[in-house]
Amino acid sequence: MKFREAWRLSRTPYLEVAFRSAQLNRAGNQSRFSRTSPEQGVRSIIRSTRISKITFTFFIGIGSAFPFAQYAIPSDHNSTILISAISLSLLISLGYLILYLFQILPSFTSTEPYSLLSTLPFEPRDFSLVTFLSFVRTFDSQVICAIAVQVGAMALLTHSAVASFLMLISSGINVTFGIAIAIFLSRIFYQNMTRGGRSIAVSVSRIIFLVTWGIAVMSFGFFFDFLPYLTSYIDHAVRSNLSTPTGAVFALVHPFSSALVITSTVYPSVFGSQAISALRVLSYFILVFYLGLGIFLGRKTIGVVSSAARGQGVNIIRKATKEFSIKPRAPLFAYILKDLRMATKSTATAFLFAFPIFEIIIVFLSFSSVSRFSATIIFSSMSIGLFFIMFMSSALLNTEASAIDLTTSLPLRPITIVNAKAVIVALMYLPVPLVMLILENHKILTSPVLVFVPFIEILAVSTAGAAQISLFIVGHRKVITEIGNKRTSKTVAVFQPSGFSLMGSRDMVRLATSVALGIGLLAVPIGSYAISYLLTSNHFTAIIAMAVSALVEFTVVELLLQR
Amino acid sequence: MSQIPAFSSIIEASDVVKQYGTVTALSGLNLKVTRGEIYGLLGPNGAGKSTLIKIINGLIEPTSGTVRVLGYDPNANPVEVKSSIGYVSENSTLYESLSPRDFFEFVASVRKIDTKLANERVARLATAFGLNEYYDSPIATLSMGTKQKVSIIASLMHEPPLLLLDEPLNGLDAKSSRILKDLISFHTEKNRGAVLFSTHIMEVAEHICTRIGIIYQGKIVAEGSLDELRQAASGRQGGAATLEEVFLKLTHEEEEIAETVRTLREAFFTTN
Repeated sequence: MKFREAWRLSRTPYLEVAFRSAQLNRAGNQSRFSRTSPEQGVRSIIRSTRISKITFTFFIGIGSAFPFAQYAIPSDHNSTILISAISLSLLISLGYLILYLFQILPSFTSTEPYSLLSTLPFEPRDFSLVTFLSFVRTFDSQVICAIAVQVGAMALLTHSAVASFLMLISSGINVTFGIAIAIFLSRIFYQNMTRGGRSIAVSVSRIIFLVTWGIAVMSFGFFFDFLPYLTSYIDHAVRSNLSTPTGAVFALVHPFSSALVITSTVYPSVFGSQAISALRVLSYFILVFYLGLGIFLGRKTIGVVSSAARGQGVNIIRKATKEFSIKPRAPLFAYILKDLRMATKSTATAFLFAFPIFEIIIVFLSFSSVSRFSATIIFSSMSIGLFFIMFMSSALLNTEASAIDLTTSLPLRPITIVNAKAVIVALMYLPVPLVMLILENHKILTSPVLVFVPFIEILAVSTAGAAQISLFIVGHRKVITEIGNKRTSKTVAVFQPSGFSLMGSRDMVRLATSVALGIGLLAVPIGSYAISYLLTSNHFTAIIAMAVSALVEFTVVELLLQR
Repeated sequence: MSQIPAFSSIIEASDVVKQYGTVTALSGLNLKVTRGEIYGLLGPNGAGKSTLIKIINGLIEPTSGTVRVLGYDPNANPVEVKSSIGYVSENSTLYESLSPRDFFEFVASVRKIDTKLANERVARLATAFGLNEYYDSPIATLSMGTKQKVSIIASLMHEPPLLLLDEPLNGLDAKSSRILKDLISFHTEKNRGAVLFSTHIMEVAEHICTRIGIIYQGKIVAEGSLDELRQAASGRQGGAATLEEVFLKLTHEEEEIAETVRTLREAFFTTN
């Protein structure tokens, strides 16, 4: 089959996968259809998929271009800046691509989009090509944009055809690595999480796996955040002509190795004054090795996608049971447990459970550099954790997935659902005050009452989480009841399962509103503390003001939800 | 059995209209289901069966008209109505990443079923439907029929006064179909509950329904026992022996089918 024909055919399964993915993210298309016609609903989902692609393409484009901005400013360390810029650009595009793929990969775990295709008389090779291309279509614009921006920036800034060509190869390798890493992590996730069993040993091993896996995903996804800390090491390595051990590591590890090779075509002195050095030869050899590895992984990926489309390679382990006991709990607790179980079993949300580990690391790093804890230090350390939990509340909306009709068919009040998710958000934030409490024991506090600050903020976190979630799923409706001649009306809170996605324009507006609302509610207690302290210069009064404002906003939000 | 008001009619729907944009799914539908009844809802694809069941369950709001379940408005009193209903949806949409055990635990918790009762019922139903092998596997890895069994068990756990079953026999094996049919009969005879179910399988409707409603283009066009429907159908162009014949006559599809089959035969089998 010709590539062009395969590309054309791949559009149908791609649309099916994209549609299912959007359907999952929107959580409850049925309810959405209830307001519009089914045709409009389907069209809206397909349109939102396009908007999603454009949005992610925009972000990946900006992310890939932004690191090169520093190179445009003349400096004495141009070679170091170029190495950092190339490395950062490649790491950002790698991270974005992996995180994006985790959002769409759950749709590829089903063979349904390919079921019709697999009944048609295709050669196995053609089937593999078509399924792989349908997979590629889900992120084609992002990949093209990232490569175009990186190559374009290189050409524009260095005017070097060789550097631009090497950048093209490196970007291609980088993208292939991103896809292969996402698929590999996704496969080991499903192999572990779809295993049956319920023993304590199985549960403990699942938790350990989940945290380890989450750290791996976040390390790949957010590694670029750590690059500013590495710049001084890169500079040191370049100044010593890469003769240091760190220099050798940079020469061997992607994407620094590519960055060094590309930079050496513009600044030959990067590898020292000799025209041909062992390190230079080694670096080019490493680039060729990575190119070969990229081709190998690309071929492997085609095989994996094709076998997944055929439903092969799925090992289901079942253990028969004669013991059917269940433990009914309070509805709120049961809902929390259900959400936790579901969120930890989807690649789209599971990595978020590694947040507490990252929060602990960040709090530890920011606290270890100071000897005396002031309110400012405590607030700034808390803010990182607060930033993380903003993701959590929106991500938890996806846990219902396509079973939204089931949720709405159960006798649950909206407040139970909202509070359950808000409790999970608060739990994710809990390590921050706990770690702070431990660290505060070893340092001097400006005032002993500052110990309570992060704990009071837990209440604000719950309030913000509840408000953000309710913005998406709770509505209020006037209900008129007529009994004989008597006509009564009341406003009731109703579950509005219009769901959440980063796709539709309306959802983007709601997301922005939700983020603004979350920030506002998190800031109110902190603001109360600051204002009170400015007026009274007393930490105790400021803490009381903070606690009261946190309690007031919590009560107001809960009362609004209980209507 | 849940504590419920003693209404004789469990479902009352009057002049229910449901529009999806320009598409009219229900157009002034009236329905009454009383205690001890197994009401079979028959209709062609897109006739409005699932929409009606979802409206009764409070999953979607009607555009106009009134619905009462045990005297409650499903939209004004969703918790009261949903507490009294056991629902099996057409597509068995479940929490795919949970195991049946986790799922039953969740449903029992939300429905506030006593621990001992919940354990007894789940154990009996799971054994009856042969879930032993699948009890701790993620629902996503189960076959369509097994998912349907999980959905059915969850709908029966709290012994609701009203069962809303949307194509409940989809994918079920013969043994499980038989068990479900017996459970439905027992539910209405002994528990004085009611069942509203939609099906395409005429044989099932013919054998277990106490009353059958034929829904066509968003309206109940005929209603009654099988004999009553036969009489209604025989008034139109000759007699009808089976429910299938009755159904086709009342929905005016008999002539259309004959014409379609003739066209297809000409297209496919006349080339030789």
